[in-house]
Parts: sequence; C-alpha cells; structure tokens
Amino acid sequence: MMQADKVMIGLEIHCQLTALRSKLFCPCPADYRGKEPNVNVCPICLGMPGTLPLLNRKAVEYAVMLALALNCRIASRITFYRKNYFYPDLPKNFQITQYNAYEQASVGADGYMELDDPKGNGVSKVIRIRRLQLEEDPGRLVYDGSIDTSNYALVDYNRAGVALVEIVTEPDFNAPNEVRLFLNRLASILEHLNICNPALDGAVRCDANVSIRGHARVEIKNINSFKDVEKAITFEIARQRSLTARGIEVNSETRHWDDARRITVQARTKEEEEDYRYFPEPDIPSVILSSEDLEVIKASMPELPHARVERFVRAYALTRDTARILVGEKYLADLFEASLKYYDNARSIANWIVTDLKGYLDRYGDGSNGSNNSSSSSSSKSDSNDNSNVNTGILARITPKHIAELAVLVDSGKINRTVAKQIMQKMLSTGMLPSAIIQGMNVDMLSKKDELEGIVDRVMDEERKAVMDAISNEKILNYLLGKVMKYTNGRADPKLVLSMLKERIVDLRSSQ
Amino acid sequence: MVSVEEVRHLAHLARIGMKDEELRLYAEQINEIIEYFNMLDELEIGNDVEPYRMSRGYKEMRDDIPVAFPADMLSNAKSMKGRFIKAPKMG
Amino acid sequence: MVRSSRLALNAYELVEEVKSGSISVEDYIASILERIESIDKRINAYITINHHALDEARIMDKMVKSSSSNSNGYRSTLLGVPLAVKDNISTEGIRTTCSSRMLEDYVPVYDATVVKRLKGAGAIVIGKTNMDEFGMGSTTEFSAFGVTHNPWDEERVAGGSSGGSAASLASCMASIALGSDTGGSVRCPASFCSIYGLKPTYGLLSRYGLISYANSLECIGLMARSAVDLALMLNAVVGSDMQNDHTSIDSSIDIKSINSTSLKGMRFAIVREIIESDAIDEPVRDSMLDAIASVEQLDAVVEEVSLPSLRYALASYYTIAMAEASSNLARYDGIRYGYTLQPDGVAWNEFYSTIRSNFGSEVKRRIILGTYVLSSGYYGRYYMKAQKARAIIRDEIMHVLRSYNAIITPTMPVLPPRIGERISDPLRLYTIDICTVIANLAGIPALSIPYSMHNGLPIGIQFMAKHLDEALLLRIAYALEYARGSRVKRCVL
Ligand SMILES: [Mg+2]
Ligand SMILES: [Zn+2]
Repeated sequence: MMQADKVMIGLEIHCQLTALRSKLFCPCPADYRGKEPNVNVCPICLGMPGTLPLLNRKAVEYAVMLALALNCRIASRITFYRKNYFYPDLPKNFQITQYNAYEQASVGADGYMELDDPKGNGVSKVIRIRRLQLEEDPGRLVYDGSIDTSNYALVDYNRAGVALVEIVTEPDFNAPNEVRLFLNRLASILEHLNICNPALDGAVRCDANVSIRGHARVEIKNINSFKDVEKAITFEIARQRSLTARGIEVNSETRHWDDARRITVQARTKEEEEDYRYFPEPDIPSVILSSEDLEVIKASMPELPHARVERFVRAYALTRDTARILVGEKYLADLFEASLKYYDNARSIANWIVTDLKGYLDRYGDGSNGSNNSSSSSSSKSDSNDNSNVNTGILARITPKHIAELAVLVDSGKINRTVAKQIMQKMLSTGMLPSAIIQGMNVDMLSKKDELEGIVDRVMDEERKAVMDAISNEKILNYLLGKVMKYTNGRADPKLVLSMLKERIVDLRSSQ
Repeated sequence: MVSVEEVRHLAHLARIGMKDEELRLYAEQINEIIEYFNMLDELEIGNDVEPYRMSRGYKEMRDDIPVAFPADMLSNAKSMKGRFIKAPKMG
Repeated sequence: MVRSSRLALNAYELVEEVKSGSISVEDYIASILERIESIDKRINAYITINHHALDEARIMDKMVKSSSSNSNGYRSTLLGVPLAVKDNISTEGIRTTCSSRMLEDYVPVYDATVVKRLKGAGAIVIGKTNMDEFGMGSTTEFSAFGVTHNPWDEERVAGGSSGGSAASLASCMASIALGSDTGGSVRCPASFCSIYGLKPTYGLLSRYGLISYANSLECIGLMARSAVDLALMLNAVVGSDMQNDHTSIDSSIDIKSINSTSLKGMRFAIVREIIESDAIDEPVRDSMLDAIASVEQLDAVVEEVSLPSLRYALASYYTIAMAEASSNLARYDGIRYGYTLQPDGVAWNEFYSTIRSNFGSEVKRRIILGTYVLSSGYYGRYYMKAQKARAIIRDEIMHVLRSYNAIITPTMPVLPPRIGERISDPLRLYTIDICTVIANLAGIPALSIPYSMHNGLPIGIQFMAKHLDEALLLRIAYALEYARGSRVKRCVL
C-alpha cells in the first residue's frame, strides 16, 4: 500500500474569558447568555460617536496567565491594533485586536504545549503556539426564518465587546487525534486557571487549516465546539485525500463545518481578499508590565494541570495514568481531592471516580442540558437557549461525601462491589447518599456461615452436573458461586461462599 | 500615481459609493496630496527612532466591575424588529 | 431684558453680576437667544439651539436666591454663563451632527465629560455650533449646514473647523465656547475672529464625548474673550476622568498666579523657518514682529531658534490624521444611528456604499487618502514614517522648550480668506495649518491670542509651552491683554 501523504493541521482558537464580569473595553455585564437582545449594551460597545475604549485590567491578567501556562513570551509592550473591515455585527466596523507584524504586540507569542503520549509516560509531541492575543467578540447575527429566506439580518450586540483570547498554533498537528489531545489539555488549563468555562455554548470556537503536503490549504471555520473539531478535520482530510487520489487538485478555499450534516461545505460567498489596514489603536496606551507585575500575576496563578498530575503521583501514590485521567477533567480532580477529606484512601477514591463514575459519564453523559448546543445563526428563537452556568446533571448531585461513603462501605466489608454498583446507579439517579440508600434496601453482606449454609446446599442439589465437574476442575466453582450470588441478590460475601463450596467439593472428592 | 481604478478599489474598501466623474476628480486631487506626502521619503529614519505612542503601567486600567448603562441605547436606531436592530443581509 | 452692550461682558464679570443679583440669568439668556434670533441668519454660527436654555436659566436664578438666603453663597464659577458647544461634542438630549448629513438627526444619550463639568459649574448650553464636517477643514465651509460668516467681515470665513464657536463669541451670541483642535481647529478661528483659543496639553481634558476625527492628535479646546475666562473654564473641566484612559492628569490653575503685568524672566523663542517662510503674509509678519516688540517691552527675552524638521510637519500631521479618520468614520453605516435606508432586500455592500456616499467631499477625500496610506504595502512608507517624523519633530520642540518658556509664531500665516477663495484647492488649504499642527504633533499646549487688526481683519499670535504649562500661557495672555488694552477688540456688537 502507498504511504499516505503527510497531513498538516493548524488551529486558531477563540476562547471567551467567561470568568470576567464586564466586557473587554466597557463596563457592560459580560454575561450575555439567555438575555433579551441588546440589553447588555452601552455607548462604548455600540460604537456610539465620541466613546473611548476602557481596557479591563483583569482581562489582561487572565490573558497573561494563559500565555504563561502555554509557555509564551510575554510582550514588553502589550499593544492593541485596529483591524478594519465592514460587517453588521461589528459596531465600529473595526475590531480592536492585536497584531504582530511590526513587533510583538500580542500578550503572548512563541509558546508551546507538550502532548502526552496516550500509550506511554513521555511527551509524544510538541505543538508550537505562534501567538496568543486579546480581542473583542463581535455581536451576533440572526435571521427571521433562515438565512436563505430572510431578506435582512437582525443584530444583537449583547456579545459585542466580550473579551476573547485568540490562540494560533503552527501547523504542527499531523492527525485529528492530536488535535483532540491538544484541545482537551487546553480545556483543562482553562478550567484550572478558572478563566473560561469551555462547556458554555459558544465559549470556545475553533477554526482549522488543513492541508496535505504539496497541496493547497483549506480553512474550516465555524466549528463551535471542541467535540466537533476532530470530526470536521477527519472529514476534511478524507475529502482532500479522495480528491488527490483521483488526480483532482484541492482548492485553496474557506469551508464551513455543517454540524447538522457532519460535513464541511464551501463557504456561501467567496470571501474576497481583505485588506484589514491594521494600525495601532490610538485610544489605548500600550500596557507595560513590570517584572514585579509579572511576578504578582505568576504568584496568583492556580496550580496548572501538569503540576497537579505530578503532585497526585507524588502525594497520593497514584499511577500517572490515573492522575492524568483525573486532572484531564478538572471536576473529577476536584471531586477526588475533596472526597479525601471524608475518607483518606486515595487509591480507593481514585478508583471509584476514574473507573466507575467516569465510566458511567462516558457511556451515558451527564444528563444536563445546555452544553454544546451550537445553533449560531439558524433562527432568532435559538436565542433563548439555556446557557446558564448551573449544571443540572449528575455532577450537580454527586458530592465528595457520596464518593467517600461508597468507598468506605466496600472497603470496610459492609457491602461487596456488586452491591456497591447497584447503589451507585441509584445514587447517580436520585442524589441520595449511599448510607441512606442502604437503609432502604436489604443490602448488608451475608457474611456469616449459618446465613449461607442453606443456599449453598440448595445450589449443590440443583447443580449436580456442575458439582461433579467441579471435582475434577476447580474453575467450575466460579459458576457455582455465581448461582449463590444470584439467589442472594449479590449480597453474599463471595470469599466466604467460595471457601464453603471448596469445603464441600473437597469432602465429595475424598468420599469418592 | 494612483489610477482611477485604484481609487475605485479604495472607495470600495471604505464603502463609499462614487460616480465615475467623482472618481476621476478624486484621483487627480489625491495624487497631488500623495505627491506632497512623499516628502516623508526624504527622511532618513533609522530603526532607533521609535514611532510616537503612549503607554501606561499595569495598574492604570479599569477594574472588572460590571455596570449596566442606564439609558435606552436603541433610541437612535431606526429599523428594529422587537429588540433586534435590522441590518442588511450578508452575501 | 438686559442692555445689549452687556452681552459683551466677560464671563467672570457676568458671574459677579449674577451673584450680586444685578442681572438675572433668565434675562441674560433670553437676551442672548434674542440676539441669535436677529443676527444668526447672517452669521450662521449655530446649527441647533438648546430649547431648554431658558428653563435651565430659571433654575439657576432659583438656586442663586436660595443660596443667598443661607450664608454659604453660591460657589459655581460659571454661574449663568451662556456656553456655545461645537457640534462634535456630545450633549445629552441635544442633537449632535458634526455638520454632517450622516448624523443629521443623531441625539446622544450622554454628555461629554467636559460639557457635564461646565454645566456643573453653572454654565448654560445655548446651542451647538457650526463646523467643518467632522472637523475636517480650516474655514467652516465644509458643512452640511452652510458656511459660517466672519462677524468682522461677513464676506470672509470665520476659520475652522470650530468656526461657529468662534463666531458666536465674536458676535456676542455666547460668552464662552467649546471647540476641538486636531491641527489648529480652535486656534485658527480664534485668530480669524479675534478671540482667545486654547488647545490644552494632550490628555489634560477628557475626550469622552468628543466625536473622533484623529484620536492621537485631537483635544477639546476652550474659547473665550478674556484670559481670566479661559482660566475659569480650564479649572472647571480639568481632572482625571474614568471614561477616558488618556486623562489621568489632575492640574488646576491658580488664577492669582496669572494675574501679572510683567513677563520679566521669561525667555521666548521664535522659529527661523517660520519667520523666513514666504508662506507668511506681510500684515501677519508685521503683526508678529510687533508682538515680539511688545513682549520685550514687558521684559521678556526673545531669541531665534531653528526647527529643521518643521518641513515634514504637515505631511506627518495629515498622514496620521487621515489614517485615523478613515478608521474612526467607518462606524457611520446607518445601522445603529444616523442617516439610513431600509435594509430589507438591499445587498450589504450596496447598503453601506449608498449610505456612506452622503459624506461631504472633504470627508470623502480624507477617508480615501487615509485608506490609501494604511492599505497593505503602504503602512511602512506612510503611517509608520509619519509617526517617526512626529517623534523627531516632538524631540526638536522639547529641546527648544528646555531652554525657552514658550515659542511664538503667528497663529495663521494668512488673513481670513474670502468665502470660496480656497476650498477648490485642498492641498493649498492644508498648508495654512503649518504653525498650528506643531502643537498637536508634540501634544503641547498652545494659545492663540487676539493681537491686532489689519484693515478691520483680526490677527492672532500663537504661544506654545511645555506640557501642562497652561498657566504660563494664560499669564502671557493676561499681560498682553493688560498692555494692549482697548487696542484689541474682541467682539462686534
Ligand atoms: Mg480573532
Ligand atoms: Zn458596553
């Protein structure tokens, strides 16, 4: 088979700094989700004549934190530029952003992220970060009915001026799964720094450029959730491969990700070669961070995922793999550490969270609404999505106490794992504490011989054939154990039952 | 020399509708002015000259405190649908 | 009604009379409005009159009465003073057009900080004054609301772009006025109309509410008929403003300190390249030489210096101003405010291009030029070069001002032109800004002082000082005002 040509992928990611309470250049509330159109607006973010931008210090601080977390060089003069183009969602018809053509104006540049090898312990790859910049989000366009049937657009400027961090990588990815690893790690960093909640609708948006070496580059825009990025890129690589395999040249073009049809489609209008006429924003003096300022920001940074993994390995003797799974999703790591306060057995707690809780969530989801419902420009009704930050799913119901109680019940021998799993199911669906669930059901382990004699005898009687086989083959004992467990609804202490069965088989063998 | 076609492109970038005779007149005047600006070419400016700009320290920025603007911001918009502002359709 | 001669009172005199109860604010404002009614048809200084001015005047009178009954007295330093506001400075509830069709019915929802502060000191906004559209011009001929006529010779321009504000003071249709100064727009009409025009240090006054033309150059400027009035105004409007990141300076003027009739100990510089320039008209040169003699008589020392990079000042200034303007004016697209079309079924590029074709010719010219100098491939050749040239000019000026208290130049190299005389040749029009743009490039304060008359036409002299040295400029103004006495008239009544 022919070796497939090398694929090159670069990302441009926009993250809203959702932890900010006001917009980037005006004091309007930044929380626009679920609001009536055009209520979070003021003369500044509507671009009214005579207004001036007022830079939010916290936004600069957050962007610097993220730049440090991504190993970027911090600009000695953080400078804003105007990017000039006309669009109805852009109140001033220019976007205040940053631009590095003449010097490093952007908060961060020349950083990198290490990707862990999913199979081993080392670093499998380094993705270079070209720049990290702070800029304002535009407003939102919606249409009456659809974009095709409506003959005008409707603008809501609530989002206009919300702070974004744009991260641009070098085209260092060679496969879609690397992109997924990168984005997962980025999400974990955002969560650990507590500057952006990637689960909020539209909080993180991604553009990707994809090319096969020696062929033209294609931009994919509009990918509104992390989950879809891998799918969009996988589709696009397959599309380009199929073209080149048939000897058709790939067009250099912009395509959009259609999340309903799960394909990339050519952009509706050929985007003309824009001339953005960048120049320094005269109304925002450059920001000069002193080395003391930088030290203060560094000192205020929460623990980053990488350091947390190492600490988990060191302090709790977890395997690096377990530690990574926990830290990969910050709420799992937080749940882990909080549960330890109730029950100081790290391995046991980690096992319940990583194997059982996460396993369940991966299979069935969290059951909450609101996340990743991207519906950016389909109809004006889509506006009333529930975008609130409140989690209504399982995670809202499960506290550290739940996990700790479950682990204690098993480890103290009160219940076995089979029963514990039944309890977990009930705990996840109702939010009841395991101790309360146990009271309502007959779950205490049958761990006294006299409680079990009758049932063991009954199984021996019913399963004569298997009993005879077991005399020569001890593995059959497990089958008999299963029968006993079934009759006891899983409550029997399996170790005890096994020893009772063995005793009886040994008796039979010797009496033969 | 800036041609009439280039002025047409500049007018498009700036989204200013212009008739042909306007374009011709502007091309003429603009060339004269650009010719004057070209005297900046005479200036031998090394890289050690920093372009003029302002700067400030980290602390001299606004705190992240949300304040809702008290007045009705839509009083000057003429085409509305509900609380949405109407705009031309793109494309 | 008050006697018409009293409409020429300086603001500080008027405030005294109001506080002593010898003039009621209502009477005074009513008389001003009456004068506007009778003569502004000819002058065309105002675009919009504040219809609440009389109501506000009545409230002032009540406040005066109630405060005289308690012992504090009323502190407002501009109590009852009629204020004219250039129509690019936002006034809440009063239409603010920038003399443009694009904003012909735009009503701001907020007051500019400077307006708010003057109102707080007791001033009453009489109306909004005519100007060159968006401040782009030096004659107030580029206005969608017609030309402003010079009160000293109605065939001639009042100067610009703050022509309406200057003309309103020179014809007693207001006592103090606000203008804006990007490259001389306060000082030029002040000179042409024989009043004072102060462009403060960049950043001293909040720009919040000033509708942007060229952000890195422009300032709100103050206009009055006496040096003391300027000081009162300045003290009312300085101070840091949370709405403007560039304004963090708290600096007010001790009025007693300007009140000196001697200039002893001061060193002034005159610029060889300006004195020797053939762009200066003879009467203007004569007036400047006379001014030099006057300050020497007041015991100041005057010496000649050279500013070799002055030659690049206009190219640098216009490149920066047009570039910034092309971007600032992009927001006028007819969607959120201003002139518009029904968007239904109109293609977006056509929508924008049609609406934006309503800018006047000078604005269009500057937007196109600004777009050109910023467009890809040209940034380094024009905008970046212009900013570097600006840095060099600034350094030269600062160097001079380390050895001298102020630089003296004519404000304008020419007498007020006849209406229509210059507008057909844009480049020639730009060159009359040569003496004024320097202060904007360097960010320093500059004051145009009404100095003399030639055949009934005013001539102003400009003084430029170092950053935040406004007090020095006012002191010079005061000393010259005292020395020149009644030889300089400041209004036509
Ligand atoms: Mg961006
Ligand atoms: Zn706002």
